[in-house]
Amino acid sequence: MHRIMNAAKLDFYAARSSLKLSALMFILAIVIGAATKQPMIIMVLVMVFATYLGGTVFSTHEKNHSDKLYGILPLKKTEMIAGRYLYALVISVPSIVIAGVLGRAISSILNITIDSTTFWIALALAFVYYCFSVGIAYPIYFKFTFAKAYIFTMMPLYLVVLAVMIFTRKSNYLNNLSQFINFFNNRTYLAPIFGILCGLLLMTVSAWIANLIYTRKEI
Amino acid sequence: MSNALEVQNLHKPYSDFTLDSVSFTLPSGNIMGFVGQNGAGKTTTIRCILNMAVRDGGEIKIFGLDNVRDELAVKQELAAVFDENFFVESWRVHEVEKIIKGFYSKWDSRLYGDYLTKFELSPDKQVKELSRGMKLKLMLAMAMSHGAKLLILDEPTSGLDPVARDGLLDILREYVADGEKSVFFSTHITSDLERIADYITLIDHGRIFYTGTRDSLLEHFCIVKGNKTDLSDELKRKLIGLSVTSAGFAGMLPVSEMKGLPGSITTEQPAIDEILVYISKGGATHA
Repeated sequence: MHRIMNAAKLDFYAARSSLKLSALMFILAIVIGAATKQPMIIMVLVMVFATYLGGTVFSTHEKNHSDKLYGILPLKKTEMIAGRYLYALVISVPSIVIAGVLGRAISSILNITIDSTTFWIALALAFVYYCFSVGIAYPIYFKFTFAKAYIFTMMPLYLVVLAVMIFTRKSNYLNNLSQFINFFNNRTYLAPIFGILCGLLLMTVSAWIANLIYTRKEI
Repeated sequence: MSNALEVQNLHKPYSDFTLDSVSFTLPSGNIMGFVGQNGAGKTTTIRCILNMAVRDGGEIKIFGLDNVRDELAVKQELAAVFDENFFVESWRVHEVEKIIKGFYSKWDSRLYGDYLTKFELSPDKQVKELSRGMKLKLMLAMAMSHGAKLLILDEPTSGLDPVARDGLLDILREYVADGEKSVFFSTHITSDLERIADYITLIDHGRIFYTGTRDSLLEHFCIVKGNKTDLSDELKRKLIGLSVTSAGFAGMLPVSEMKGLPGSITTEQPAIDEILVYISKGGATHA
């Protein structure tokens, strides 16, 4: 386990300079959220931007040829992959906290009331989106490298939009959504649990696929 | 004497190139130069040794351990340096230790600090601020600070100025001075080999042309020159890198094949780069 932690630490240091840019992204999220008077959009946007930060670690390693470093360190490929996903989860924690704090703060400034259930559901869905996005992008980056597969970074967002469009056309969207929210109404505590479990499941499946891809790949 | 590195019948095919039956042995406490022209298979062999490329056949043992099955144990005992810097350019020199040391059970912070001082590497400098030679020294500092007994270098001297190259060779010589550590380095700069290599392995088009001590390599081959009339069909078949001009012919011959040469033919001992040139011209094969 300590080798996986070390690999995650290495990734953190590699991507550290781009993490500093996250402040700018969060400001953009605030501006968009404030302009649309939708604090929940801020929460979602913070997590959308966080997926970019999750991907920059690939870009940094490729630009610096530091992939070769993994070839000489006493580290198995599976541990390197686990470290990369651990890194993604670690940077999601401050991102989700910032998303929540900004959502609450802006709603308070704009005098918009968000009930507790809606807040936690939005936060849970934002985290699930992050995991879904990372879960799709990482195996692609492992397979094709970031430089070649950068175009796919936005793919999860397109997939979500497409899924929502299909979902809203073929079903009673509002009715289903309110049923979904009602389920959590008296069980608010379940919303973050639902988000964490769904997110971790997505990440686990993705890590398994990445393993299949990367362990056969030459560094 | 135990072996630091043993490669037996290494086989690695690509669509346009194949490493074929590559075999050599580096006894502990020695420096082996791995020589060949560009594209001969030096880097591929090193990538197979480091398990960065998956071998299709053969066996690679490092201190008696399989390089794939015992990868973690093996990589605690070896270090590698490439011709290209592998640290993130925004890292500072002192941060390299913070990031890397957790991977090694025998990391020695005092030793790392000593190497930084010795190599005149400022701990606060960013990697991107270092010259090519200094980046190489940073990789060496990392490589030598965790008790590695085998140092593998891929074209470390290419792109270095003569002073930096000389400095690197001194570092390698000091590194093996205790008789326990070994160095395996690929190069196409043959003057480096003449200065420090105990053993030389020559690779050409994915096949080992020669492996053994440096001295026996030089004694193993001779350059033969003569008039065109001396060039019999039998001699043509034996000569490596034969070139014929109006003035006569020249080629390289294994010393064992010299018996029965006409007296008019002159022979001389080749330098390592001459051997490389004759090999690259092709002709007779030599096991």
